Amino acid sequence: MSEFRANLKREFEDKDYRDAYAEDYLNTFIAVQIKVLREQRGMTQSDLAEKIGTKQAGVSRLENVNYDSWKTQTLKKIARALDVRLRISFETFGTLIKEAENFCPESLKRPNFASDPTFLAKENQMPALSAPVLDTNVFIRNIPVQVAAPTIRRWHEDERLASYLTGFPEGPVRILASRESASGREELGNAGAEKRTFSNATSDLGSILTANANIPAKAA
Amino acid sequence: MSKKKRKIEPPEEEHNACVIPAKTVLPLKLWDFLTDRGRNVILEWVKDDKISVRDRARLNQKLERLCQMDFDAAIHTKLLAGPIAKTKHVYKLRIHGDVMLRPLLCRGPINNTAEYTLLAGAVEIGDKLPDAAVNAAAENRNTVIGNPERRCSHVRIPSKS
Repeated sequence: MSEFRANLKREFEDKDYRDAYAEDYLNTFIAVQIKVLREQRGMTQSDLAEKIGTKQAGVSRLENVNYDSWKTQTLKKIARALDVRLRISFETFGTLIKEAENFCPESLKRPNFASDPTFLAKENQMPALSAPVLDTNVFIRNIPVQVAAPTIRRWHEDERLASYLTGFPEGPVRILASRESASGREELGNAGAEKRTFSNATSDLGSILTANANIPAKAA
Repeated sequence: MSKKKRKIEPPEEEHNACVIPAKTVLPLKLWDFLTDRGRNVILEWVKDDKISVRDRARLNQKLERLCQMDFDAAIHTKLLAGPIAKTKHVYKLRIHGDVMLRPLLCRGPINNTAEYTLLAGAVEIGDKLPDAAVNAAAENRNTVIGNPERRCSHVRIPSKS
């Protein structure tokens, strides 16, 4: 067990301590996630304020880690404006330890509905377009969440891809592909791959990803 | 015998592809200033000021999150405020609790992008920091620049006094 976990586990024995820690963590979490989601969508505080019917200063307050007077109604409005759902849930203190240990603003990003992988991967509703069809059982990881033109969809009957890539970030993109087999997951790397470079799309993920896309083409 | 085609389901966490795990944010390192007698000023402060259990929890929580986000985000979300007037490099960590705890710190000062150093403890009263604490923090920063040995890895705030 890490030192961090051991410390929190010991400290959480005290009710006052764990209550205060959890409440303070919640305030921080909400403030940071509103900021992260707003920026992920390229919105200013004023843009978001306009969408939820308040002033820029109101959004600034919501993005303050020490603010704790938000109302569920306001959070629902923010969820609608950001095109995500609001989840309110009572949790054990045990889950907080792991959550706090792994806290990272980047991990608070969420795709909007249009980029939600669940709805992108509708079976038999996405015919192959201009992009190459992938090998059976190719598993694509690192799915960009910012969907934008140019749309590149891949689908092949009887194949179930983990997700579709329907847009790429501006700048170079690296797509990792692997194939499941009885011996485990095999990294495809560059072998038999068709090298493609994607550009002219819009997203804020360009800086995160690197190199070119290495996409294995379907075997003839 | 025909082999049944195996279908691959994406792992749950990848299906919820909300982020691309390519960018890993390394936690920032936190240091505590040491007096010329080798005493940790932050531990001395929390002992002397009789800080409540709840505020100790808030203090630890804020310090942990500070290390997990970048400086700009900390400023934007008002976790950090500063630089404090009359100083160029001293910031205060804002903790709203039973009392307004304001540990004073600076980026670096040895490696500005990878660490913070806690320089002094303070309690804000009426939106005003004690001058003595601010001056001490600025002086302590200069001391660390001159002698990096005058600090130690941050010691977690004890949950009880």
